[in-house]
Amino acid sequence: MTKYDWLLLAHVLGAFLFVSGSLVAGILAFAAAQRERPSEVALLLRLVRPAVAIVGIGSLVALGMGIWLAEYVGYGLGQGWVVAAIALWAASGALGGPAGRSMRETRELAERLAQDGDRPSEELRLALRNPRPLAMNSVAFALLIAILVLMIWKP
Amino acid sequence: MRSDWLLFAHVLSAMALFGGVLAVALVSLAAQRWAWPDQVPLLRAVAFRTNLLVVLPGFVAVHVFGDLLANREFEHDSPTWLDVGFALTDAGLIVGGVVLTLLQFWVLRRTRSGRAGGWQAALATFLPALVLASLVTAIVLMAGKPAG
Repeated sequence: MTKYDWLLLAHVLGAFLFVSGSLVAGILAFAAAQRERPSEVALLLRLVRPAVAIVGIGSLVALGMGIWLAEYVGYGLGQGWVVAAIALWAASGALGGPAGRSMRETRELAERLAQDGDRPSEELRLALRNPRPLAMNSVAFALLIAILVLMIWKP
Repeated sequence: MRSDWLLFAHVLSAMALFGGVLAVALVSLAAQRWAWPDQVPLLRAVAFRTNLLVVLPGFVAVHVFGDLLANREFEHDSPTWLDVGFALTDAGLIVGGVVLTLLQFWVLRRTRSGRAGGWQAALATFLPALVLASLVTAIVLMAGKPAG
């Protein structure tokens, strides 16, 4: 395998971890939103933490290897689609960060309620169905798909 | 259909598949190792539903789009990395898609009737990790395209 192949492989693996980790977090958050018992919500949202770590590693590897690859191939960082992809990567992180903090607060609330009788709570139900972090996560994920579009078509 | 659209659909479905298997592996491991006994049925149910609704359709989509793409790109003679990649996804579809979904349904029913352990649960925890490893191999083959 050539250096180009290795760089592309690392970039693609990073992108897979980035998108797949986001999907795992989404699946677990969706499953948690279907539950009423705080202990069950806390259990599912605790599992989001390793997924967030995967997202973080994948996003950094995908960006770092992508920039290296663009320089190596000779596209440079001045091409419109490369600049757009980096901007979308940053926007996705900017949206995903606050949404992740909101999910962490919901998990902490669920853990407190679980220790305090483990009874269904209206506050937890509202936190799980809060439209703002849901919308931010959805837009962040859509931006990842837009990056994939840019990577394939390279307009 | 242009190859770019096929490539997009193939990569997107592969990412969804990888995420689905990753979720199943994580949730199954939590059910086997970390969860309290009363939490195991919930985790086994999430693993089963994810396998049924994400992993199984993901394998089918990856295979269909990959096959269409390969027919466009390699009309006469396909390279070794592609043949190995197809063999891996064929095996993955059978083991990770069909067998694992049925196994998880069985494990879920056993867990709900109070029998959370056994070789069935251990196998339902081990198989997603094996499928994940085969998918990583397939990604290395598809992205790295080693000689052949």
